Amino acid sequence: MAQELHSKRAPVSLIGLAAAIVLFPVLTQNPYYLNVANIIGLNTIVVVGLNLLIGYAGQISLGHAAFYGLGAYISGVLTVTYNVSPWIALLSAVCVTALLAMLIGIPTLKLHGHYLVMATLGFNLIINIIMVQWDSVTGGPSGFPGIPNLSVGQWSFDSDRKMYYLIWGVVFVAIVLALNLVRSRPGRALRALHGSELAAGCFGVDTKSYKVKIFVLSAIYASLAGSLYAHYLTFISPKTFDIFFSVELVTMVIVGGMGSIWGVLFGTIFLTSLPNVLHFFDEYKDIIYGLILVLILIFMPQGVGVAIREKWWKRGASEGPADAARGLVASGRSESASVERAKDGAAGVAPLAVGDSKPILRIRNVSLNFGGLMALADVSCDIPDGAITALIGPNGAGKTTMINVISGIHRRHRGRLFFGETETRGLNPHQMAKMGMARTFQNVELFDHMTVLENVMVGMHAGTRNEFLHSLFRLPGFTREERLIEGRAWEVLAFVGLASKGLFPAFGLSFGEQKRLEIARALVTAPRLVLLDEPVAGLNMTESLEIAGLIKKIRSQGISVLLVEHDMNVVMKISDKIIVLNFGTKIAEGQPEEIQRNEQVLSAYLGGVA
Amino acid sequence: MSSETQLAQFIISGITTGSIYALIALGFCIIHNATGIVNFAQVDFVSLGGLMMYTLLLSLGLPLILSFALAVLTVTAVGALVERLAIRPARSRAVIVLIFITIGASIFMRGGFKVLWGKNQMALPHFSGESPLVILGAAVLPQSLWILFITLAVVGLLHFFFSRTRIGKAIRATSYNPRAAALMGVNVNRMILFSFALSGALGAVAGIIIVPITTLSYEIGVMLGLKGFAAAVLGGYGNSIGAVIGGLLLGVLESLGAGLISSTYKDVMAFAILVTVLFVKPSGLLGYGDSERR
Amino acid sequence: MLEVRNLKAYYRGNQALKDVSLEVNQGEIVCLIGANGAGKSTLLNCISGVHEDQAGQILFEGADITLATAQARVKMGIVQVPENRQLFGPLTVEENLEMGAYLRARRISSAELNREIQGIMERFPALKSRGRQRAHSLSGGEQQMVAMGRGLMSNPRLLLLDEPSLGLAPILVREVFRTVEELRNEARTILLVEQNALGALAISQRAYVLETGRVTLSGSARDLAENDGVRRAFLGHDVLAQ
Repeated sequence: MAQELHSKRAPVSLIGLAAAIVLFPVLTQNPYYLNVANIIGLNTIVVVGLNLLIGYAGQISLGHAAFYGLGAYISGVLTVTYNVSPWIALLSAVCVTALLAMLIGIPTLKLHGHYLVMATLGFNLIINIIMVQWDSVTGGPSGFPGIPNLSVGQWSFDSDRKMYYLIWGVVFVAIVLALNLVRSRPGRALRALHGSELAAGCFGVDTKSYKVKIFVLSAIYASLAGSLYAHYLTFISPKTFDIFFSVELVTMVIVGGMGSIWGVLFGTIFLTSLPNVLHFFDEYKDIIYGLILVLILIFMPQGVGVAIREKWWKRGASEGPADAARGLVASGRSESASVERAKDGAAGVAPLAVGDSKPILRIRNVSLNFGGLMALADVSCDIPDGAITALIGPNGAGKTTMINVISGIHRRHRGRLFFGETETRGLNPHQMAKMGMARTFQNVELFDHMTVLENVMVGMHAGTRNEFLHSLFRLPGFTREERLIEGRAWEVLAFVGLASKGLFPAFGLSFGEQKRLEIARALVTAPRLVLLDEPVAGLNMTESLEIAGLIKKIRSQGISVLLVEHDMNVVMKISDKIIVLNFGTKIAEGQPEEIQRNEQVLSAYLGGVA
Repeated sequence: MSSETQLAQFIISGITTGSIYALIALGFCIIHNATGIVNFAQVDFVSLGGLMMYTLLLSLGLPLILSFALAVLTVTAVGALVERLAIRPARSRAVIVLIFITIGASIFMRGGFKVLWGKNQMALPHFSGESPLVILGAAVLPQSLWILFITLAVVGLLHFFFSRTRIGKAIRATSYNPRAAALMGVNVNRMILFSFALSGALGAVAGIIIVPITTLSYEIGVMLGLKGFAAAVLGGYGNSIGAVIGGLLLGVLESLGAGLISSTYKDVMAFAILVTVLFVKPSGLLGYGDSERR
Repeated sequence: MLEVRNLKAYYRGNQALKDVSLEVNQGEIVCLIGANGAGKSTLLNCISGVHEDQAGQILFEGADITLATAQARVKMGIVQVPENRQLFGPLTVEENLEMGAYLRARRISSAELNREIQGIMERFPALKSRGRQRAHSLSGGEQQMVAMGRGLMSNPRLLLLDEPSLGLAPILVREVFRTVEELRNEARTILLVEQNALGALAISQRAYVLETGRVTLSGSARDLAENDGVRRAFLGHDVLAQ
């Protein structure tokens, strides 16, 4: 059922949408309704683009009324004052708007936080004031009349009905393209960004450039709608494009449900027609509009569309065919765990012959200073190839710092690191990922609102290539790569025992399953070394044992494991080698039994007042 | 008029409106520090201050000082109500959602003002006459002096409140570390409530003192409020000293720009400055950069 | 004085505490030791009333306070000195101390408040002359002193200390433990959470060992210091014994 929900829902919905679009004008003869429908259509084009920005890139723009207005005014002025063909005018408007969006986006989107919203707010106010004041060109506050209708040869879009088909045709294409983008490598990357920027960065998602691209795309949508608006109404005035309209547009996205294309379609229809309905309330209509907005945001903060979708997802997760499948996998899982345990029994505690092969990672004299605090002081050690190595130490010993140095999050350390034969100085996390190092995070950093499968697919971001244009227009080669990514992701999910959950949202997983999903996401790139940061923290005994089994299974695939963990029962049981840190220095290394007998380690852990 | 006196004239009028921006910017900052959000209902606190003053002073004929006090009190209460009725019950603590709740509240309030006070322009008398005084060769309205004096007094009171009183310190502690404040027995929700009330009071004062030298309408606060917002960003969003400096600077630049370059694009000045600051130094003049709260 | 009965707590949908029961009697220091992630801080937060997701019962001087707000508990005298100090960074040291007396400040005169602040400064000589310095400019050890001073300013009847020695250099660790010892000699009641097990056991009367959300050992501090189970709680079960 869930599968259907995902792969077939879109085409079915699209066919439904197409049918509704075609049928609506047949069912109504009332030109007023057609007029409202056209305005809804224009708003929808802007809002679908804006939704990509808000729902997928996590950024808000209060400047889309200005982009809409720029489209309208550039089309109007070029066609009337300069006699340019409307189609060329429309293209020029798109180009100018895209350029402006880029100019605003590049400096503000490289920063963390909500700077785009402030910059676009200012931008909208400026553009609006210019529309009012520059009356020699724009016609000033009284507006700009006499814009010609669009036409193809002799045939002109001169009625509500003809414009209806044009506008809604564009809406349809806009939605299809948006859906294409969302369900593609860059689309997943954007949603991942929204879930956890840290993790997305580690998988090689170039967060800044994606944000700028999506912002420009959304501005293009707005400009296009603006041009259509100008040719449809043939008269434009500055009031239409003020900051309040920008607010309304964002409201449509939020009320509909950020990130849900069908939700925002609903939001647009609802909020565009609402003032027309509230017309009966005359002077009270603003009060009622404000009240409805506040109430929806208080009680359904994720938006109406998403609220409905999540209900559906949860229902799917609790019943559905997965129940049977879950049993299957669960038994498979415990089977494999018990097999592992049996093997342990047979092999006793004979450790892997550590030190025979070349180490996969060599750490030499690494020091790191955090604002005067020595987080790591001259640490040297080897991480053996094909083995499980544990990094342990009391709280604040520098373990996570070390993991962050190794994976390239901290790059200001002294000393050297060699991954295989390559020195890794200056490499960032996703370059490390490309070299064959993957990691999980201490505080599970999953992309909550994506499916389990998609979470794993994001893991393959760095090694794959589909970009914006490929995805928007489904260019050749797109599908082949998509299939490859998906196939590999399923494989890894089966390996960690999560295949039956593939199509469910990640937020619905138990904590133990979330940890396994993180491991799967790290494994999907076929790394040579995985760094696991507290893989069993917060799990119960059974879950811990399962993860321990999984870690050994990873080793059996020839992948080296470096793990930071506090659960000593797990560490002592599965590690081939243990490295102990205290106050940023290495105090011991060796096999588990040596470590357990080491006096220095004992006093590091048990403390004491000397 | 010589160019020096003209310059003095521009600067004085700039400082006058700049004071208003500073008060509004302070309101934005206080709520940002308490909750991490931008409270767009701030602009309506400004409008409501002016509107209440109109009703109390002219419709009910109350004395100036009493009207002033009652108007401020009313808006203070409205500020608290916005927190109590719209922010606290929100099921989501996401910044984006809370910001749009304040936008919804703003639309709601503005709709209400339109019903209660109508769409017409109104006027309020100056506090003490309209015959200008001549200072440094420039003609200065007594109302401008009132604005300067009251702004100074308010900023002084605020400083006293935050550095000397128990509640003021608790509000600062809460904005820095709400959890630790709770462990000290501070009622965190109440501190947020106080912050909204205080912002309401600041907005009201700004509205009341500026209206005599502009005109009053149900949406008077919108443009003033947005410029106050720009001032807050200029100073470094969330930084109170920055808000005051940002407000004054914005007022003076705007006035000079209008006087020396073009008055047509006077309103563009403030927002051009806003956008430029965001591009060049997004943390503002005195900002901390990325603050610990998002 | 404090009695915790069958406390369960959940953290991110996972059970962090499993039926924990413990008690602290008037005038004693009880320490709660265990490895990272054992649930120690969660337990303190439940007692302070700042951890929402919990079930079970907490009694303070016989009264059920399970549902009391964090504020009410501070008023009753249950005061926590949180992990990592959690000072109000931009406030001065004096203001931080004053925040400790937040709930009492209405009832005492400012002269008295100042006297108490001076008292704290005398107790921690390192803080003298630092009263007007902002808290975030202090060193880790000094910050810990401010945090403890801030806790004492609320006149606690039960002081909950969460890892006061965390991240401090050995010499400062000694100083922290000396301070706790002094408090013991003043007959204050303290529940001390520590990872530095031997240090904590040395100054406590009784102790509980917490392992993955469960109390696995309890008894007099002296007995536990000799107990091999404590070592296992930190370093895991013997590899060879399996």
